[in-house]
Amino acid sequence: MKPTTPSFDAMAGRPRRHLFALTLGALACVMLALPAAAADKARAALTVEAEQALWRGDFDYLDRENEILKHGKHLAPDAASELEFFRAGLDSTIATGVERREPYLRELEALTLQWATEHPTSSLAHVLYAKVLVAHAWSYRGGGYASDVPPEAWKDFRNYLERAAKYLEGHADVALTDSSAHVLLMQIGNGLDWDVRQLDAIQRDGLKRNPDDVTLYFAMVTPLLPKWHGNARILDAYIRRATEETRADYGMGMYARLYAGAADLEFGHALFENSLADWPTMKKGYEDMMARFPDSPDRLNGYAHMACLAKDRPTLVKLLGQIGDKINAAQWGPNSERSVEGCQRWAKATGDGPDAPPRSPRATPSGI
Amino acid sequence: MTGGLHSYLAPAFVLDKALVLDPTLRAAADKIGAEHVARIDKLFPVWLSEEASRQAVNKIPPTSPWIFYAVLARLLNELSLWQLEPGDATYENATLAALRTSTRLCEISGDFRYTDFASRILRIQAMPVAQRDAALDGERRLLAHWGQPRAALAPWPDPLPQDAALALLARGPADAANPRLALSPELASVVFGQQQDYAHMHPVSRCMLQQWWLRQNLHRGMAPAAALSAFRYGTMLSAVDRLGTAYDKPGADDKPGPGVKPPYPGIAMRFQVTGDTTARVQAGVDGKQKASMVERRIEVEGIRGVRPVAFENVFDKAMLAFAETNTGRYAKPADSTPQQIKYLWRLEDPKPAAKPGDKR
Repeated sequence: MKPTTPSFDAMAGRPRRHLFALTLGALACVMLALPAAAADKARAALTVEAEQALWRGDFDYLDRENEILKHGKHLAPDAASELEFFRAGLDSTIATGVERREPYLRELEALTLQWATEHPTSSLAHVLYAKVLVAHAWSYRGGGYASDVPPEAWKDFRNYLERAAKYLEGHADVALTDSSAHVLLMQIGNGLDWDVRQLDAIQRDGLKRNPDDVTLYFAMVTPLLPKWHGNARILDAYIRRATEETRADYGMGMYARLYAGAADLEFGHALFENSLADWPTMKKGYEDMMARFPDSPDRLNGYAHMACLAKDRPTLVKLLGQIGDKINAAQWGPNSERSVEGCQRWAKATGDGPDAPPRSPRATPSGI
Repeated sequence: MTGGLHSYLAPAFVLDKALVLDPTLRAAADKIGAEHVARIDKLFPVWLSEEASRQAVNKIPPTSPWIFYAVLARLLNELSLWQLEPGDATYENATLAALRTSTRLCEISGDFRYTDFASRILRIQAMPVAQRDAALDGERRLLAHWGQPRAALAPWPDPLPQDAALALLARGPADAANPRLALSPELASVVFGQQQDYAHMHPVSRCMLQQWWLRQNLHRGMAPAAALSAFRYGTMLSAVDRLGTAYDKPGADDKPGPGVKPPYPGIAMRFQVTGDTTARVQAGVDGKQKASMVERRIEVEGIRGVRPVAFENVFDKAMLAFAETNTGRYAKPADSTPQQIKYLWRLEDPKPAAKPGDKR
C-alpha cells in the first residue's frame, strides 16, 4: 500500500526550509484530526509556533506548551484538537526535507537525547527522542509501496521502530504520563504489525491518561482498515464503540468524524459501498457536531460531500445553499475539484437520471 | 561628503520592521540609535577636516575622494570596534546569559551588511525585562566611545571560530565518541543536511553557528570572556562583509596559479590598506593543504590610534588561497610542524588619480 504524502507549508519567514512528507502513522493522525480551514487558522497559532520552536531548538518553549496541552480539552472552534496541531508542528520539523537525510536525523537524535538527559522528568523530551527514531525508521521505509522498499531497508526500519518502542518502555514512568507517547506507540505498533488487541490496550491506557485526546480514537482507525489488519465489520464495531464513549462531548459526532477519516485513508468515494458506514447515523453525527461547534465551515463542506456520496440530494442541496461560495475542495475527497463539480451538477438536476453521481465500484465481499 | 558618510552610518542603526521586537524596547533603541547617528553626523565635518589637513602634506586636495575614503574607513572601523568592545561586568554577564539560553538572537532581518545594532537589541530583548534598562545604558556608554582610543582588544581567535566549529562538526555526530552539544534542527539542516560551507551560509545560519560555538566553548570550560570574544569576532561585520563585493568580484582570487603573486584585493587598494600577513600551512590527513591566518599587521589610511579591526581580515582570502595553492613550496606533511609564510602587502601606486564618479 502507498501512504499519501501531505504537504505542509514551509515555515513563515524561513525560505530555506524544505519540508518532507510525514510518516504514515503521523499522517494518519493529522489527516483524520484536522479539517483543513480550521487547521489553517490554528496552524498560525500552534503548528507554526511548534514547528519553528523545534526548528530553532527552543525546548523550553515546547515543553511549556506541551504541559499546557497534554491535559484537558483544548479544541479549535470546530472541535479540532489543538494538541494535534502542536504535534503536527513537531512532526513537520522532524520530517524536514534535506539533501542528506541520514546525518540530519542523526543530529536530531543527538539533540533530542541530550534534551531527554537534561530534562529527565519531561514527557515531551522522551517523546521527541522516540519521534525522531520513528522518523529515522521511516526514512528507510520511505513513503512508497512496500514492493519499492529495498530488502535491507526493512531491517533498519524495524530496528529503529523497535528502538523507539523500547525507549518509551524504558522511560514509561515519565513518557507514558503523556498521551502523545501512546499515539506514537500506536504508530510504532502499526509499523511493526503489532496485534490489534495490543494497540487497543495502548489506546485504552492513553485515554486513561488524557480522556480528551481524541487523536487516540483516530489513531486506531488505521490498523483496523481492510488494507492493514482489519475489515469493514471490525472497523464499524470500533467506530460505534468510540462514538458511545465520546457521546457526552460530541453526541454522535465521532461516528461521522471517524468514518470521514476512514474515507480519507482508504474508502474514498466508495465509503458507502465498501464499508458499513450508515448514512442516517453519519448524518446525525454531523448534525450533532454542527449544533455543538457551529463555526465549522470545513465540516460543512465535508458533510455535503458525504451527503453526495450517500445520494441524499435534499441534504446536499440544503448544505450547498449554506456553503454558498465558500466551497473548500479539500473536503471533497480524492480528485476534489471534479468531485465538487459532479455533486453540484447532481444537486441541480431533477430525478435520478443520467446526471446522478456514478456509483463507486464495490469492494469484493471479503473486504466486508 | 558628509551625506555620503551618513549613508554608510545610518543603515547600521535602522531596526528592520520585520524584526520581532517589544514595542517599548524598539522605541528606546530607536531613540538611542537616532541620537548616536546625529552625534556622529556632527563629527563627520571634523573628521573630514582632520583628514584633509593630514593629507595636505601630500598635496591631496580637500575635495579628493581619498579624503572621503579615509574617513569612511574610520567610520567602518568604528562600527567594527563597537562590535568587539566588551561592556562592563553587568553588561557582559547579561549578554552571556542571553547567548547561552535564547534561541531567537539570530532572527535578524533587513540589510545583512548592517545588522550591527539589531543584533545587539535582540540580545537585550532576550534578557529579563528588569535588566534591559541597564543593558541599554551599557549600549549608550559603548556608543559614546566612538571616535576615542579604546582599551586593548583581544586578539583574533586562532583558529577562527567558524573554522574550529566546523572542524569539530566534521568529526561526526554528537555521541559518546564525539561528545559535543548537538545542533538545532535548523543548523543541522544547513551543516549536515545541505553541507553548506561557511562562505555560502545565510547570515542567520552563520550567526547560529557562532552562537552554538560559544555555547560549546562554555560547555567545555572555556573562560566566558574568551568565549564571548570569539563570538564577537565571529559575528563582526568587517569592511569586506559590508563592501567587499563592490570592489572584488566573488571568486576572483580563489585560485591563483602556483608561484603567481596573490592579487591585491580591490577593497584594500581603494582604502589604501597595506601591511604584513602571516599564514600557517599544513597538509591535512586527506593530503590537502590547509592554511590558516596567524598574524595580521595592517595599516589603513584614515585609521589612527586604534586597531584597524574592520580591515584586518582584508587580505585573508587572498593570503589563504595563495598559501594553499603554493603547496610545493610551503607545505609540510600532516604530522610535522606547520610551515609559516609571511606576505608583505605594499601598494606600488598608492593613490592613482580617482576616476570620475568614484566619489559617492
